[in-house]
Amino acid sequence: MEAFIHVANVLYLFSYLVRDILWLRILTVIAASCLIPFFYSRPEPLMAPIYWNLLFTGINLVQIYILLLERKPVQLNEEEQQLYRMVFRALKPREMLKLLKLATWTTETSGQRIIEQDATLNNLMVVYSGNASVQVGEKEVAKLKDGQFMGEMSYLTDSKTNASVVAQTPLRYVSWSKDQLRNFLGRNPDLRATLQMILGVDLVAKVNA
Amino acid sequence: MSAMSRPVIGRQPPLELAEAEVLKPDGTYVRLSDLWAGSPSLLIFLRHFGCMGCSQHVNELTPRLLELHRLGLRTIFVGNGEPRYIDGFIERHALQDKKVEIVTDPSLQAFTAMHLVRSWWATLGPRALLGFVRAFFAGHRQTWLMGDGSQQGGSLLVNGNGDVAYYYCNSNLGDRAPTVEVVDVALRLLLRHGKSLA
Repeated sequence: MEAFIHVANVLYLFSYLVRDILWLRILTVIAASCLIPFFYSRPEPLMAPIYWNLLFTGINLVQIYILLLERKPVQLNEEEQQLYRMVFRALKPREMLKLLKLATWTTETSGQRIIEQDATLNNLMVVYSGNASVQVGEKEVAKLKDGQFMGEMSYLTDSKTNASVVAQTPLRYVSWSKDQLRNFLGRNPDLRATLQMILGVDLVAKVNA
Repeated sequence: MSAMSRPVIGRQPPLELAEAEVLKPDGTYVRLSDLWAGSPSLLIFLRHFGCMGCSQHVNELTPRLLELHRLGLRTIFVGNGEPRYIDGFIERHALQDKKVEIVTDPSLQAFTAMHLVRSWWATLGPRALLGFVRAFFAGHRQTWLMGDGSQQGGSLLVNGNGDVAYYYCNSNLGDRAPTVEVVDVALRLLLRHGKSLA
């Protein structure tokens, strides 16, 4: 029984040497499992340290489960993968997956009006494939292509659209409800900051075009 | 412009703030209002140039500076140490190509006009120490004191018409305006003032 205390401490020693948090927690759980029989085998079983170690082991097991879930490979289909590479490289794959769960994919035919001028827009959109024309009145002021956002000004300023967008070719795009997206980003501040940066880069490209 | 008041969103900045003179790196004086005239401007009031909390703040802002500059925002860092500390500050934070102007206000007249906190408790109290520890764990290190150690910082965003669009007064060493919030406001006012976009 004395061997258990030595085994436990050697395991704690290794847990302090590893850098991976998952390994650290696994080694700690095994070490705690060795300590419990040692404390129980005392002339008077030491129940207080046993209960504490059971609690720590329980917490570590839950954290290990969460870590394993987080490390599961993220599966994106071809379109999602392409969108990720084009626009959302700054996100982690798992963040992209969360964002895509809120997204709607739409395909419109050539000539279809995607956004009306002077309208309240409830969505933020990004072009996956195809070309679109940005028009103020009847005049074209810009063109949009793969990987560019639509409705981002309205999203950022909460004001009505100042231009309309018309598909010039079959247009496939991804859209998010503004309210849903804002709620989601409110719960994920890191993702909010990254998406803000992605939108900023898109704006800079358009302003300098 | 109103006198003896803190900046109020939607109004012109207080007269004392607009008229406050700060030092450029070459030692010449310039009025703050001349720095923000004619362009949406973000003023970040730092603690001293060696502050760990400010190092963390600058580090958070730096990735957005060029993008905001290209959208038309002028960014000005206002320190409170001697002008000779500015070059070292630029080098430590790799700001050479970030299109940011750095000035300093050793007299603290601009800081006072901004109604920013000046207190040793704000530098050494429990919240400040927590901020210090967080900055340390984030990899930032304290250099020596390069200005007034009790002066805290703040943030001010002025729109193209010279009105205050955002104001934040740091309560202690570890406190600062959330970068995502500042950039949100900046993007909104830049888009409202800028070119028509898609």
